[in-house]
Amino acid sequence: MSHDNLLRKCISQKIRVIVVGTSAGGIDALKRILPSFKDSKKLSVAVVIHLPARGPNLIPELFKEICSFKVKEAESGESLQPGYIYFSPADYHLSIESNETLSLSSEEPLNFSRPSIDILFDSAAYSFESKALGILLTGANHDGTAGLLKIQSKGGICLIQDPSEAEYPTMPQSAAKSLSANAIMNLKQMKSFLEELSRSSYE
Amino acid sequence: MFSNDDFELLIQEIYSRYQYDFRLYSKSSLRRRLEQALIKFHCQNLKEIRMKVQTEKEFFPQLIAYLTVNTTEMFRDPGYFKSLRENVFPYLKTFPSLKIWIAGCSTGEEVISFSILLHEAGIKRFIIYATDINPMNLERAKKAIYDTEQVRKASSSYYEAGGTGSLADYYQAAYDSVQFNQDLLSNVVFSDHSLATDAVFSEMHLISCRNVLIYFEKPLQERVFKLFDESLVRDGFLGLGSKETLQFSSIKNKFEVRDRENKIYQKAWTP
Repeated sequence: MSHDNLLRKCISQKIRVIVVGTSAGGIDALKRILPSFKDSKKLSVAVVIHLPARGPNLIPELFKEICSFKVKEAESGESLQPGYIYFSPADYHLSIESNETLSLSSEEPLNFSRPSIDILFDSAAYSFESKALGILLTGANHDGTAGLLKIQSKGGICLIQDPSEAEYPTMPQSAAKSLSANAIMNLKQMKSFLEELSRSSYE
Repeated sequence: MFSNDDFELLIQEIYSRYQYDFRLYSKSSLRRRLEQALIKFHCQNLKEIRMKVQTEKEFFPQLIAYLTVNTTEMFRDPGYFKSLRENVFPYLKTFPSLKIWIAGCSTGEEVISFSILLHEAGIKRFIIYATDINPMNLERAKKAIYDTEQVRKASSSYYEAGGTGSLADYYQAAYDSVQFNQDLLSNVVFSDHSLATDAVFSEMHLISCRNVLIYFEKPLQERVFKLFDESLVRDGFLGLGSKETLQFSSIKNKFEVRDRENKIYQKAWTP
């Protein structure tokens, strides 16, 4: 789907929540796209990046500096607010509930991962259906594919980073093989697409 | 295959038939676990699960294992145990006898952890009340048999938690599992208790309830916080999971933060 058509589709579906998943190579990729979100009264962003289980989570601090959206580590039970980027804490799964709150869980790792991208995507698919947009970036495992399939089956929109430019192509490749994403984009295209989406006005 | 109406009906059926109240549990985690249950019990949809709950007496005890999260490990978050050992136990030691409540003890890993640390702190007169809503978890906890691999991993957490001996001193190894010494459980009372429906537990000096409240919606969290407040003696301690906090609760002002990072609170003395 062309950039413009996809933008129109996102606007007509009134995308409310953007869920992003990445693993190896993810910090650099996120640095390219997360600053794209400008002041927005409608969009909330939730991110899972696979991290080592122990130690303090320094990721939100890293992104506070470079993002216009407010950046924070997700807390259990807090309301999902527009204009925020939420990162999952290390060693907890992050979900978005249908009552528009965030929840954490210490259930078993999925695909050897906690936080799991599939769990975040799956919860966004159920809670926001066609108003959810899933983005899968660089990574060296297969997390995220099942979650994107769920987003697709609920009418949401799926974007995949072009595996040929991904630092670790396994994760986007796995998803690209398993579903026909709405678009496969390199980070540069994704950046301008997200800038436009966050600038466009819809209620 | 998964309709919201069927989900609500099932949760309602479980509540009216068995008095297990999942109505205020976080939905997405429950839904994921029910999806696993569909696969495990070869059901097409939640209606079939509900039929089984209604008609097969042996079914519900099997289902409940899916409805609660049972992941736990020994000395999980070693900093928590280290802080208890350094900041809380010296104070608790001054009491002639202690009551400790481990709420949501699952398969007992935290009970063993507490028992070992109390032993090493030289605290002998204590009772641990270990509660869970799943009776099968309690049965496993009483056996104190764990997977060798899991215990091997716990060994480094034990040292980080400030363990002074060797974890291996506390168990017998056999094949791929180990059994902890039953002495560690001699002061432990296991009992079936639901934080969602049951009452105050008695005058506790320390309550440890970690990674349980994250599965509850706000009103249920609030119920549990009140229950803890009422169950604690004056100056009693409350330990929560690393991502749980009293900060947004109505009992917040009755407690002082003893260790912010490790989520240890003390009930403040109010005249």
